[in-house]
Amino acid sequence: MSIGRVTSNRDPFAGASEMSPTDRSAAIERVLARFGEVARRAGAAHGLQGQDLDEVLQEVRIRLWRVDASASGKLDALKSSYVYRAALSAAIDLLRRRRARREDSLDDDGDHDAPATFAAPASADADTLASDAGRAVETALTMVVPSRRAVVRMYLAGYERQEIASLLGWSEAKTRNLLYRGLDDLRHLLTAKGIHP
Amino acid sequence: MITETGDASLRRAYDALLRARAADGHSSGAAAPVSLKSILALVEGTGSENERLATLDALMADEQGRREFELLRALSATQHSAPQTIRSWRLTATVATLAAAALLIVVIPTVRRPQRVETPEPVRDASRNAVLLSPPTEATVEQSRTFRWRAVPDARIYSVEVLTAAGAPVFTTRVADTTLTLPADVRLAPGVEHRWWIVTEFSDGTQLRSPLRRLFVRETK
Repeated sequence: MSIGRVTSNRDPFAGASEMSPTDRSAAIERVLARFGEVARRAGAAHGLQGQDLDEVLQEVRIRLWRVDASASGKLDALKSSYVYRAALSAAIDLLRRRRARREDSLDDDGDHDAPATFAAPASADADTLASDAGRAVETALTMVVPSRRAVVRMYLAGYERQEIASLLGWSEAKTRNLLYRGLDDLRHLLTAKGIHP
Repeated sequence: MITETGDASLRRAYDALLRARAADGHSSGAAAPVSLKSILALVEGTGSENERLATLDALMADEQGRREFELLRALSATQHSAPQTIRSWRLTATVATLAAAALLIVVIPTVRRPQRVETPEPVRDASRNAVLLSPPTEATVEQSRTFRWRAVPDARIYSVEVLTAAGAPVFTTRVADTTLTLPADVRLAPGVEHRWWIVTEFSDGTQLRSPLRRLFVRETK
């Protein structure tokens, strides 16, 4: 698997006529708009932050401009697989930079990115109970068999069965079976501790 | 069978756990974050199933990891959307043709007899979940009063739930529209993180719950 940087040596714009810089720019924007729309739609349901995607697309835009600029044009045949690889590479770079910043931040023991406030405005007791329930769920999850546990975690994090099946390449029936068995396991473990979810 | 109510309370409890971990600045307790290469293998479906399950398990136990996964997953979706549609259409057409042929072979020479018809359990398409539009994750006091989401086909009614970061309900109501403005006597405290989600109820009684969305109301200066 390659997650390295996309270099400017490959020409993804084969077979199209010469373009003016304006046309070239418009073609790049069309490609990025199509790509961005699909990605944004895919991420919208699970809180993908728009600025993350914008940052990636900006990097892809720069990389596309750098691709064989001498052969300006040839953008009509811009391959989606090339844009995808460029976007992955840009995203990996972005995530690496963020991880490095977080490590630096921990080393400095200074400001943290995490929001400072998680205080409960309505009921401190209710929040404490909810946090306790979360810890109990985590403890119980560690006792669920791994193949079920991963599916249950994904479900609890807000993903639906169909998304889980699609990600893991499983049939709907297999996913449902493992998910329900995992949730049943979790409930029994919690009930045994006197917690009734 | 798992009840919807139980699912919701489990999800809230789990979300509260991830939020608390993020606030404390530490993750699931793993020695190191999941490697980006492993996340990529997961979204691209490469590597062994056991490796992918282990990666998924670690990512879903850590809010930061889940966000990284979500970015790569969204990018990966661009590769699967159009070709998959074509492939699945062709596959469906092929299967339908073969099924029709098989039906002719089996049904014509046999005597008709009563058949038990099994109704499949309704499975809701996850893409039909309500997409939450506003308020933004960080909102002004004014913005935080109006909630909007995308209409879901065949939805009968929507339940709106606003929660504290730990999952305690602050405000809940049911509306037929895709916009809700909080009543004048309900105010979300500034400088405090909340959560909200939409439960879409369909006419056949099934429900589909959107993922929880964060809402941090900025303090007015």
